[in-house]
Amino acid sequence: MKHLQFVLVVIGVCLAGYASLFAVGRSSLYCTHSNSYFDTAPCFQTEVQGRQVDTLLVGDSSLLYGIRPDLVAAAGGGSSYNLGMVGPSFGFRTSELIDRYLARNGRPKAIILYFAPWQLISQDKVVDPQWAPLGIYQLRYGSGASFLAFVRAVPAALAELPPMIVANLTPHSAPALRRRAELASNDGYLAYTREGLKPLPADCQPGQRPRRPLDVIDNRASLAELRAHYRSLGIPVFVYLAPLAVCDDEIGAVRRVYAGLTDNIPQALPNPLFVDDAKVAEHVHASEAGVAIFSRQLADFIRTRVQTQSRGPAA
Amino acid sequence: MIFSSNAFIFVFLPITLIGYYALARIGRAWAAGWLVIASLVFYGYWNPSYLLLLLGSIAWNFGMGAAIFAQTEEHEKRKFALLWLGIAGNLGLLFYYKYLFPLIGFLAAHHIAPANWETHVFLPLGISFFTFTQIGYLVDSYDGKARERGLLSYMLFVTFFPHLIAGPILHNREMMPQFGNPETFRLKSENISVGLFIFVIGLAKKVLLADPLGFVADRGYIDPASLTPGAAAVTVLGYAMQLYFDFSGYADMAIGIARMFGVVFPANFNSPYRAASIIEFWSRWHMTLTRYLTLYLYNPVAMAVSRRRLARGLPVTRKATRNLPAFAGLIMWPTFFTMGLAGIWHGAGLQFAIFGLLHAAFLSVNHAWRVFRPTRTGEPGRLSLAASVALVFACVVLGQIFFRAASSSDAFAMLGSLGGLGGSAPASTLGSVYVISLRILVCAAICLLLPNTQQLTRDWRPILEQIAEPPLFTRLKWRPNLVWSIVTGVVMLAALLRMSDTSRFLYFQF
Repeated sequence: MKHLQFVLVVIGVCLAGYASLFAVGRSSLYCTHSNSYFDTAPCFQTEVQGRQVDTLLVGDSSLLYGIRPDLVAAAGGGSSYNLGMVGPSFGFRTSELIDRYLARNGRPKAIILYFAPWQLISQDKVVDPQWAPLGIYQLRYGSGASFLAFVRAVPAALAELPPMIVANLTPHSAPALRRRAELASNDGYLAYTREGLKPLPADCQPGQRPRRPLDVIDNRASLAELRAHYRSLGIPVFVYLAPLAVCDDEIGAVRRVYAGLTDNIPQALPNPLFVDDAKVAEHVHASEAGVAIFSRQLADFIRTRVQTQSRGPAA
Repeated sequence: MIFSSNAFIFVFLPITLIGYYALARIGRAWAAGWLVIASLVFYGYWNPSYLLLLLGSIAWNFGMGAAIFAQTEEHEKRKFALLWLGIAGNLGLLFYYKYLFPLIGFLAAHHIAPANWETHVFLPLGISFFTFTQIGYLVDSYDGKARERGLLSYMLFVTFFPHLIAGPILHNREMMPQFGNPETFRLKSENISVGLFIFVIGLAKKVLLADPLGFVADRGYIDPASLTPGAAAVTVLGYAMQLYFDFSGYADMAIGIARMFGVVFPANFNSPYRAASIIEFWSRWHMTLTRYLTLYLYNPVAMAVSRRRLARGLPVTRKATRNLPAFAGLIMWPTFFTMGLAGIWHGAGLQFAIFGLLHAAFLSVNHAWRVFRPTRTGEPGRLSLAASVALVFACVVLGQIFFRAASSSDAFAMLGSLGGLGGSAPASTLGSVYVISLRILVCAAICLLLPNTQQLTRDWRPILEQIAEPPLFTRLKWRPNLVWSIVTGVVMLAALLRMSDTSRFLYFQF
């Protein structure tokens, strides 16, 4: 009997430890003490309040690190807020994120969904190497049911999330608070400052990272639902595909797959406008030069498409 | 699949355990069959295509063993030929995967072989271990020490997953009777709790102690010539601790897992860094390999030398070894032969041969010291003992430099850096000096002062051998009580939470 008790207590201690870490992951303490870049944006963007802008930009890291609302405004695009996230979180909880924003902030005149082509893949069908931030995001902001759905898609999350939470935590809150302050003062834009990042060379080779196949994009229906839902609330939704580096040589495929889905024409732009971080993602993160150009291009889009339509009789 | 992975701990092990004891209620053969299938899954998880290799090797050795058993006494020559044919098959396999392509590469580099012959094959996991285990079985079959117990028992003996990849190297005589004993298949909570405790100790050794020091050793050995003496010392000491805790952690996990299935393994480590002589070191380090080498290499060579000397009318007693030529023939030659091969067994590079020969030299000096020194009276004092332990440790670390370095020139570069002939990269380039030093000191304290795993669990027969009392903390023993369960649970939790960046075990490469 003593032996059985020993085994049960050992297992119990481990289970209690894991359960406590899931609880820590859901707490606000996690946000203030996580040293992970992946947590900065979700922790801040889900809590942002008191903003009143013309255009709400919603999207992935190509938006978060690539569009500066002050540059958009300077180029005539009006006021905007960059509600960018990280990881493949786009398309999974996007509408919940927008609803949270709308509940705490003024109503925008339009919403632009701004994302890299690979983000329109249903997350329950693709176990992405970057599932971890999505898992923590689900844990923090999803309902119990949606977290369970996530765990069904990625069972390893049950075992791997607690160690990740421990690894992300630091006794110091200063780094997280500094990044939050940066997000607050830059209208949601975060400078992409991973260690050793350099602009992509002009003569670069396509990234070594295995590509996620574009032909598995299959949540078109949820995108259409999302557009219809906010249009019914009087907020038009535009879809803007982030530019790609010519290095990746995929613009043809992207235009083909996204034909009829986007409101802009997807562009392949010179390599030095992007940073060389193919180990993390496809080449979609802007370099400093890229941020200026992409922000200006978005301002042009807002001026020519969004403001025109928002002012029109349909709005 | 590695023991320190979520897939193993949370999925494979529980399912295999539950299936094993559930099927054991139907019949032993079912449970044994289940364990064989689980072991094949465990092996195939890494690379399914190499399952065929493992199964082919089993078929070959089981067949050769059966052929040897079938020979009557009047067919001694045929029996002997079958033994060597069986061994040749095993060595051929080992040569192909371990040595052929490095040899071709070496010859191509020296323009002796065409460059287009160069190619690489993946070394199948555990090939040395399952090959050695089976060669031992063939030799024992020939000597009449092994009994034929059927294909299922044989497959279980070879594939039983706790020892399949990196040992301990099992002897059929200590395993086959356990697999034939109905008690082995009976669910006993004692087996699960003792096994779990030993497993957790092993996991903690690997994840909490070895891996953090692995980063230090890895960085230091990238460019050994660039290090200052301090950085070189930190690197080699860090590696000494990493290697011990990695490999002994693996052995503990293997012993613990086997025990959960009711099987008791032999010990593989017995606090080797407490050894006061290099002979004692080898009786405490990778003990099952030492036993294997002694049984199947050293003893046959030593006996052949003895027979030759006897035929020439020369003495072979211990007293006779006080004569230098006799010492060289009876002790040094078998030692150099055995340790030279042991060195090469670890890898195809010159550095491994130097590692083996260095240890052969150390062992020979140790034997010579025993044979030639004046007779000593009384026990050695504490200071003398401490000096001996330090000297042995220094010799072991010297050998490990060749064992770890990517090449012999890197090993010599490390030696140069230790002697102040290296570069200017300080220890801080390897990480926080304070943290690294603290880690090394903690590891050293554990090695030298605390009871080892089998000593902690000595009341519960954790291994097949007798266990000596620990020198210190003699009252520290594991018991299935609340304090030990909470401590074990907390250690397990800490290890599980650090497991995400766990590396592979060092001995997987052999």
